[in-house]
Amino acid sequence: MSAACQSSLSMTESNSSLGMSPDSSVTLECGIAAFGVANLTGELLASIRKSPEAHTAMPLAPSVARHCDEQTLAALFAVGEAMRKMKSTTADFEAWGIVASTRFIGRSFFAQSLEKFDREGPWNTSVQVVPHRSLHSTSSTISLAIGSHGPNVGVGGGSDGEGQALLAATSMLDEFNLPGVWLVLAGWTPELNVDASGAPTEECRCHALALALKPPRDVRGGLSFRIVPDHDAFEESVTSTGNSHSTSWLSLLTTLLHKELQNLNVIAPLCDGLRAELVWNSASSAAHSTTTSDQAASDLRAAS
Amino acid sequence: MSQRPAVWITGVGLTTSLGHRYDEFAENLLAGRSGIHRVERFNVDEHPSQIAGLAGDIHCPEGDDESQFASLLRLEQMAHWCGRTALRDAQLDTHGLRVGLILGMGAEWMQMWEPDRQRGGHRLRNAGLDDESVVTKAQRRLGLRGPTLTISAACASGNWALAEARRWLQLGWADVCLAGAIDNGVSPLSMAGFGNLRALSRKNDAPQAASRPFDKHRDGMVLGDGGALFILERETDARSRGVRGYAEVAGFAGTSDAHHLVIPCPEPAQGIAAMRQALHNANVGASEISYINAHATSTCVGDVGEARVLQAVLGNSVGDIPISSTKSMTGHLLSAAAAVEAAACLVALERQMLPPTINLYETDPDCAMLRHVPHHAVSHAVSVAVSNSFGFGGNNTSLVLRAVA
Repeated sequence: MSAACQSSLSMTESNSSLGMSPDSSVTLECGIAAFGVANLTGELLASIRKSPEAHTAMPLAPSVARHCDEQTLAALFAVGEAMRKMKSTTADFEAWGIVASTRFIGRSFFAQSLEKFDREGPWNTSVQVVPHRSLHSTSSTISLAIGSHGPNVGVGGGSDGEGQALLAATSMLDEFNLPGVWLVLAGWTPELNVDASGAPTEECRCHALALALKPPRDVRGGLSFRIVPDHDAFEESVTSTGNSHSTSWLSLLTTLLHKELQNLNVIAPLCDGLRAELVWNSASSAAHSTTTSDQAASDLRAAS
Repeated sequence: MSQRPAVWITGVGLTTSLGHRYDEFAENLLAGRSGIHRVERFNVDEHPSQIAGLAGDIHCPEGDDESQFASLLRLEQMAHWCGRTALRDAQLDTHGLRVGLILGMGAEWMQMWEPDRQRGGHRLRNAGLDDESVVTKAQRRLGLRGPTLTISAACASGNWALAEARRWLQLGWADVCLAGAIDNGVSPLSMAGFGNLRALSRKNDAPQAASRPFDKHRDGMVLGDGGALFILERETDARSRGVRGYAEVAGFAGTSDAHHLVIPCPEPAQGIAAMRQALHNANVGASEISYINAHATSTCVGDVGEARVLQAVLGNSVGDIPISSTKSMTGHLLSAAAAVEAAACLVALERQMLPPTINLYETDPDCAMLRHVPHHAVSHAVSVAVSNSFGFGGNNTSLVLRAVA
């Protein structure tokens, strides 16, 4: 495809007309119908692996429970807890979608696999790496456990994935007109470091937060979040260096929901040009204070 | 929300075993050439499958710092090459624009850890060294600002990336998007894992005949690496810039089997649902489809399952609508498969030619109801192309691309 010549001036001029006007950009909102939290030691993880249905109230084949990643186990635990709060069974989620964000999934198992490969060669390499340690593995396993046929995707994968998950889940709920979406965030605290054999070098806990998201019209009260286009913030950020949006959404949402801080709304930049607003909805007209994510983190620490 | 704006693809950047530029890829695809060879990049003597469709060396884009480019890991090089060439192909100056960057990658960190370890690095063991994801690094190196997303639905990741980009543009969350998928899945450990899963062809003595979707004598898939990224923008913007559109991203849908993490469901209800929903999303009837790019990976189970999906969706038209699997030439690029197959659909739409399924000498009787395009490309009027991708984890997607005027 040959390139036509265009002057840089005309390209710059044409850029000013690109894109929708700020007034036409769309805000999307999700209501959080329920949430579940996992904060699991190695011992608890082993126990869930052994008896997944006892801990998650979801049927899971023993082979899947045996081989799935720890972050997937934590995710299943958190989803199970949310389901219990909703007094629901898996059948209620057949048409739901799933968005799961994990952080560096499979580090330990992958290190073990590479070390084994070096020792024994290809013939004894595990077949469990791809099914259980890919970015989509957690969402797919949840889909399998729940029996949901809506779309399922994994997002993020590194330290910056949680905000991406909020984007993807909100978009999915709206685009496919789903009754609901499971948004699951998982990771390790502290972040997992491993030795040559793949064993963790220090004690870590595996965390997960599962949010049952629904269209706002289907949720009464509680916390909702909005994805809001922020053209002004983007214009300001273009001239600044760095693009750091380091809000830990798993921590922020867990604390906000767990402590039911219903006087605290939070506004935080999500990424260039978009911000997230966490808003408490209630029948009362009680005043809510609104704060930024940095101040929110400080307030939440004080509250705890 | 009012009528959603149409979204066009206006730029393509790719790296595959069939070429590193769109024109080269198109020529090799339509010539029915195979990009599959014995793997020479590492020792495969003890691997059950020893062949792959490798993209070869990834070249530094003209004008970029070569030593910096050489220091990148292969997956990062793929993202940079495909991104840079797509931006140039679309003649797009991104200054002041919100550019959404969406990369489909199913195993980003494993595909960084393994080569880093081979180089003597310690990223696998030390989480503190994993400071920047591929998407963040690509955004920074390409000088882009805007929302970013890494997304995985296994083999269907590329379709998801394109669909999400379309959505962001329709919502006004970005002014333009750079979206697609890349995969560096041909590695010692990956080939060993897939090989032990008995998913890979073992026709090591005839690499170019090994990937044979729908053929009675197929014995498994052949891995490939590479990827494709696309520039997407609203039709009104593309027209105002005076750039040519390759195609409109007209429709998409995704469903889940919830059957097994690796094996597709023998009852193809969810694959059928994905394809029907995508056609509905595009406002296209089954009989209006000009060409279908099949997922068909050359596995015994998967190809037959897809044939049943197509029979159910197309009904009486199943013998009329041409279908081919370009994995016969490229191999299976895993997370990048759907993106490269979207590029193959663009070739069909642009050149009005149907890419073939090569190595289709004796059609599996369970796939015989389809109208195959064996061995050679065929001239054909193409206005609507559908690309199916049914991935591990039970992810089913269907993408509809429509010619633009």
